[in-house]
Amino acid sequence: MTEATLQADEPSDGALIARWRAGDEHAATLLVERHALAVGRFVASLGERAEIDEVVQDTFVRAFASLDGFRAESSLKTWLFTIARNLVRDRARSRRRQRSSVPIEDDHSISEHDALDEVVADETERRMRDAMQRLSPMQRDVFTLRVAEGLSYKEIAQVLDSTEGAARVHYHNAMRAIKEFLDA
Amino acid sequence: MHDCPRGDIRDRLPDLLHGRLDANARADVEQHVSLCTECAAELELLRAMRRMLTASSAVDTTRLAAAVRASEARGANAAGRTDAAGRTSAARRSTGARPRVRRLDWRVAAAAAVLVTGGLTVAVARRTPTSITAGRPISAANGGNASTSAPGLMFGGGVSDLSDGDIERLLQDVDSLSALPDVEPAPVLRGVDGEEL
Repeated sequence: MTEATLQADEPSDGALIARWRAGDEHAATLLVERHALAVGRFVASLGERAEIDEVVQDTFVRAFASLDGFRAESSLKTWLFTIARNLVRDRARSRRRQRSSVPIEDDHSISEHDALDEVVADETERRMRDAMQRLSPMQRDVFTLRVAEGLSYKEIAQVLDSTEGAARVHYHNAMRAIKEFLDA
Repeated sequence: MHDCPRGDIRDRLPDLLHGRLDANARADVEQHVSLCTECAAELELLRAMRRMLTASSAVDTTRLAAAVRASEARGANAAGRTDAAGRTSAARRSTGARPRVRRLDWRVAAAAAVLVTGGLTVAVARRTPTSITAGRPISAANGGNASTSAPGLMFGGGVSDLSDGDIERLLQDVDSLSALPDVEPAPVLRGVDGEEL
């Protein structure tokens, strides 16, 4: 659920953060329930398949531990995505180091996942997934944040440490590439 | 699928999808989409992509919330133990103050270590003779036969330990030292059989 789609009687992220700072532990639960799915989707789109839950949990733990440093000019969701992206990057780096000594495991889990997808997904969905896979990592990140999460170009630039203009260009290039693939 | 030339409208299609447009902008975009087959097709594609992307997540939010709560509780407990002022974790959060993790104790220990180390160094230094200590006395007056000479030039003990007489004798010894021998050494000739001639 995004901030834009909150019901009138639901407290905003800012209000929940204030309640949490005042000692209301339940406010933290509400924030997790509100944003965990979106963070999980984003984490999955970054290529983290096996340990999405763990990354999402680490994201929230890290976010709550440093909530004093949270600046209200960016949305909480944008901030969570930024933390999640950094975590995924750190894990990928660590995995690359491990892979240099133990070169077997990851490909196995990916092929299992792909096989499962083949069974479950219908043809249209499979083609859309294929189209996503053909995008560059940056195009994929931008497209996911824009389409799945509804972030603005400015917010995407914050999450991906890029610029608003670059985010817009990546989005339109991704859109064109997906259309071309699906039309082919 | 062709692209509509109205880039400004296509740019806002994801915002329309997520309900992030204000009333006027939404009316504009919806009106255009109702007349433009390209934008209508693109919006439909975006809907399908969104469904596909959002369906692929498998996050157990209930379990996550519990885990984050537990982690937060552990952090609060740890901070609570170290807060000398006795404030609760909630009170700390409300003021934005960070817990001080026994920093005072660490500083006291470090200062004590410095004092103890420094004190030991001074004590050891005072016990150790400050002069150079030779293994045995060097006699300069009688050609260097240390074993039979009276105490001569000695390195050991401080100069201040010497009496006036000792100092006077020491200076005389130094004056009598000569760097070169007084006579030329006599050549030693040896025969074929090695005997001195």
